[in-house]
Amino acid sequence: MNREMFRIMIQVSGAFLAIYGFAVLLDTPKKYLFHAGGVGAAGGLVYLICIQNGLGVVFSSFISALVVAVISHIFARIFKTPVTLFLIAGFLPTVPGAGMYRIVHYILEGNEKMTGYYLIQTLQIAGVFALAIFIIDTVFYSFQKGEWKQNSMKYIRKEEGSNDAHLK
Amino acid sequence: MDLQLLIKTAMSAGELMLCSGAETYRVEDTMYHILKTADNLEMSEVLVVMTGITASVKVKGEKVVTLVKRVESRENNLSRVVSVNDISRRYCGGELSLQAAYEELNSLKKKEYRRFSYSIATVAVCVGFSLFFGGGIWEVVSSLIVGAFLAFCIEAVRDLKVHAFIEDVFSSMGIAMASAVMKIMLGGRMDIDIVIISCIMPLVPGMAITNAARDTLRGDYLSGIARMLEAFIKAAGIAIGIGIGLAIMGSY
Repeated sequence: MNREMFRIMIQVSGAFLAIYGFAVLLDTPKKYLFHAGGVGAAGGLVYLICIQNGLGVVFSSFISALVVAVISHIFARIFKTPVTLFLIAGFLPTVPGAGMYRIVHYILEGNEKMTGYYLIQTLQIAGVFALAIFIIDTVFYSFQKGEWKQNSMKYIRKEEGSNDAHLK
Repeated sequence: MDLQLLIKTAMSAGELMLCSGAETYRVEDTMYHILKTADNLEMSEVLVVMTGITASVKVKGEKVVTLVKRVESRENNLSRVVSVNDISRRYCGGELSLQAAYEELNSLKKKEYRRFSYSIATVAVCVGFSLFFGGGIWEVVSSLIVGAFLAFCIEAVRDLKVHAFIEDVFSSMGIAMASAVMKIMLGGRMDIDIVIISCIMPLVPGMAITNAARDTLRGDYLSGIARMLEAFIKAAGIAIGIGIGLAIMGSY
């Protein structure tokens, strides 16, 4: 068990390093690099735990994407930044890069059955990403009140607001 | 209030965001909020698609002012999205005058990091993912070397100024060939699958996939489908490059 834990720790720190680097490639502002890496590591950890507990690749990606989306939205509201900043980097550990490679691998081998299997799996993973984004976006969109308002959605001009209050 | 300057400010904010990889609804929203600050506003309308922006504004007693902008190149630059977002928030919150906002928008810096940092980051992505995918010491060493070669390929291909699709094909061809060379050198001690999968990660269209889903959710189907196509073309380019590279090296 301890050995398993150690292996997962190594894998998660790998995810952190990778996402930190990817955030640099996307020109993320310096002060948010660490947060983006953290979101990625969290997504990777959830994914690995799900896989460990025998959930399928697609369902594990879905759970991981849900967690990443929730954390990204919370960060976006705390730091008042666009949510994509954390979302894109956070999704990367579960992006079907492996599926893409396997498709090519089996096409070259001439194995049509496995090509079809990985093609469908890759499309499914892309689909559950979209589903996770849909769900969490909608949840946060409907709770946009007070302090939790998303940065760009509603601006209130302070002076005008106070003038109106006096008039009424 | 100078209506010309207002629409020019809104347009440069929108253009900067759109060509830095912001979602379509965010661009429309930002421009709409900037235009809404006009005095005696009668109507304002913004239409953004992935390849261009149209904005119209009319105030009482004046003619309609319309501006069209074609956006040709797009890249991923999140720090510019954050800066434009911040400027428009400060302007709409009354902290910034229109003139100051316009000047600040036009003096935004192009890149957040030095050119060399991107190469280091590419290597970090490759090494990190080989750890994440359960690679041992030899996979990590190989992806370090292949990642460095990939960073070199990306820099070399960028100077050729070819289409993004060709860039991806060449870069991933470099990955496949370098990985095959490492495989020949290390033999059975190294799993070539892990190295290749880790090293294509810097090229994977994560931004396009995410934005495609978010645009589609907001009802911007035109932009959504365009981004999906962008992601698909990028994925196809990587796949073709890997295929060619492996075929050349005779791994199959």
